[in-house]
Amino acid sequence: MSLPGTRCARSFLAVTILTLFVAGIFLARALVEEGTLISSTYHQGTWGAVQNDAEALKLQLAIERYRRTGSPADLAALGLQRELFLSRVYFLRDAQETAQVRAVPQIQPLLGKLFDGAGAIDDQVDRLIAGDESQTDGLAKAVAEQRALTRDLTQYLLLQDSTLLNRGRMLDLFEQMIACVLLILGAGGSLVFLALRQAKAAQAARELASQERARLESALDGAADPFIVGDHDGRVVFANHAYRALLGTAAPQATAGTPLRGAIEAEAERATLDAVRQPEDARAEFIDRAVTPGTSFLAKLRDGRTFLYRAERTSEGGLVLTRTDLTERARLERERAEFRDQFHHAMKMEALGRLAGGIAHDFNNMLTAILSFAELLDQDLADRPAQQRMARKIVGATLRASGLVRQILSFARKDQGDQRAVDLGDIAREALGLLRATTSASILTSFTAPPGATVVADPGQLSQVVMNLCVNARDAIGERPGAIEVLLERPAFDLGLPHGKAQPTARAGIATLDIDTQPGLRRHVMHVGAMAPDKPCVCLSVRDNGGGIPRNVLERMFEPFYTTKGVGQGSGLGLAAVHGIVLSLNGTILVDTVEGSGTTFRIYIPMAAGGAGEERPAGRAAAPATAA
Amino acid sequence: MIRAIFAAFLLLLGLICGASAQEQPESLPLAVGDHYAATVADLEKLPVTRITTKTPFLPGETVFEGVLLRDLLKAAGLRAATLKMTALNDYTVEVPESDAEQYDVIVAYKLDGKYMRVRDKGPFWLVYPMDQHAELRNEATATKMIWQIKTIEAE
Repeated sequence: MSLPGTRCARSFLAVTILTLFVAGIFLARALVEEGTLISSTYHQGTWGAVQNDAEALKLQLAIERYRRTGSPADLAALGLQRELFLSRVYFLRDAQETAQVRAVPQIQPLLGKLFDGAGAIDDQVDRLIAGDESQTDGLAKAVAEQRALTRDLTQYLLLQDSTLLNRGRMLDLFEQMIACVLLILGAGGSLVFLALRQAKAAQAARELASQERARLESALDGAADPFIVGDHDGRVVFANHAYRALLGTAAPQATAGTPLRGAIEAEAERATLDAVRQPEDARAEFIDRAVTPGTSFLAKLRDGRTFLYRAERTSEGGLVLTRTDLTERARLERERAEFRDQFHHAMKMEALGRLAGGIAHDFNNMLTAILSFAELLDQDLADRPAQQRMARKIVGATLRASGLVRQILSFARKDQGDQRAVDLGDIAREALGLLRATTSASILTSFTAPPGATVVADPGQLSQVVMNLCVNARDAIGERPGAIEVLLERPAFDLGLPHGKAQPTARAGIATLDIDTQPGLRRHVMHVGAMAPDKPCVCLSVRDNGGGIPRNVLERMFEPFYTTKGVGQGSGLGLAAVHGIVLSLNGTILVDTVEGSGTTFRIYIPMAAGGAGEERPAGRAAAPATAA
Repeated sequence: MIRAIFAAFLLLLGLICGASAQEQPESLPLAVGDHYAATVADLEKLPVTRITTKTPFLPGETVFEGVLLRDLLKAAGLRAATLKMTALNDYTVEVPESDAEQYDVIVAYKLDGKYMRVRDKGPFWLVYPMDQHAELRNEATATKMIWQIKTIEAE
């Protein structure tokens, strides 16, 4: 692109160079003509000498002719030619016109001989005409001498004219030519200098404009919404990356300089047009509305996305056509709402934890007193069995209450327990053994664990985690035949999502993903925790083939006191305790459930440093969870 | 007999070519157009015009006598915008007829009171009144002042 000022400067430069060139040609032509004129300029009167030489030659020929024929006519012609010859001699001798010739010193001797000889020839011709034939040879000789004189005279004058006379003028002409050439060279050089300078400045301006344009295009290219800009001639000026992606990989219709209508037609091909109307009409209306400034309309693409199409007029008479992906915007707004809910949920969990932890601590002190006194009563009432049974019921109820308090403290993460390196497989095996004792025979249980699944944790809390998950699995199966599979492995951290789906980064909070697997089935994957994906870990999986977990339950199931079980059947603290224990170990919980098909809980716990080995004390030991 | 005739012819020729300028004019005729030819004697019968002027061809001021060109053309019945004049050595010039109307251009046959021989640029010389008209004092006019006129024709 060139600026108007640059174009004007170029035009002025071109006109100036052309003018200089034409002036140079005219000047050169004038100099050549001047040179020709100089070379054809003679002494005033030189022509008289030339004519004299011609007449001398004719006289010589006339004598020769008369000597051959001897006729009276040739004699008369000889006499007339003598007159003509003498007239040129007298012209040289007397005329004002030939004064310059006579003034040339070098030819004055020749002129003297010429004038003298002419008089002698005149006399000889007179005698010949009078009949004295003896004059013939002498006359011929005299005329030949005259002819030699006139020839020398003429040649000398011509030579002198072309050298001496014209030399000064030729020198002047040469100086003029040099001056003109220098003038032209100077002017031309100045113009070339100006042209080069202007070209350099124009190049710098073009490079700067190119850089600015590249920066602008880069910035525009990064815009999320697709848009395309056309000029007032209806040609594409620019289309950003999002717009080109909208049309396809190559998107030749969006190339700068191509007709804007081609891009709109390509868009129309990708849109779901009104099925009721003729395709041509719907397509034409789409194109018309898409390029009408000030309009906006919604259209759905064949890939399911919905776009808002807008057309605006630019200040230069062009068009800016913007497309806003409402589908993407809706998804982003939905995600934003989910994040907001998750934040509120996390705040609620935090508040509940603090409340429950505070109450549980005081309540635990009370239970300690009750338990102590109940045990004293038990000892003192050995002789009164009926009262002793009541005292023991108090002890049992107090112990159960103490267990609930421990669950509350676990959720509130107030109780770190006695953390040490333990083999999770051993704990899981033991917990599963206890579960089998309370599970109906219709439920099959299996356990698989590799050796050396060592983690640093309180064994009691780990057992609590396994037990709570297994009890929930059992309750999910209910009275129906089913299976509970407990699997211990050491995988890389993996949410287990299908390939191509985004793996959420590990972070605190809850992320819920909806994934359609089979028609009619809803699969939900929930992720809780903030474990680094590349950290070595142990994964405890508890899988059942129960009824699965609905989404609304999934979102709240880690809340304390939230339960779907009947009154008296669940405290609503089991999964809350699992949540608190696993997160206190910097672990992660992954719930993968398919409604009507079953649920898998995966508990990822970082492995102990050094991997498998004997149980060894951890870095710190916490106070007992309960005072009972 | 033959010798006698030849001697008489030579005598005649001698009279023609060698006659004195003061005494007798040249007998060479001037042809004007296709049907008119005149000798000096014939022209002397027409009104005489004298011009005193300097020319580039002679030293000093000279008195020419002759007949006005326009009178001669009228006598010969020759009308043409441009006249072609030819000298004895076949040198030619073109003379606008308007010169004859505008100026007293004469066909001179006497120079300083004497008939002009061929050697004196005679017998007929076209003379412009250069001293009487400043605009005639130039090279172009000098070029048109043809000597030893032999014929005058329409161009």
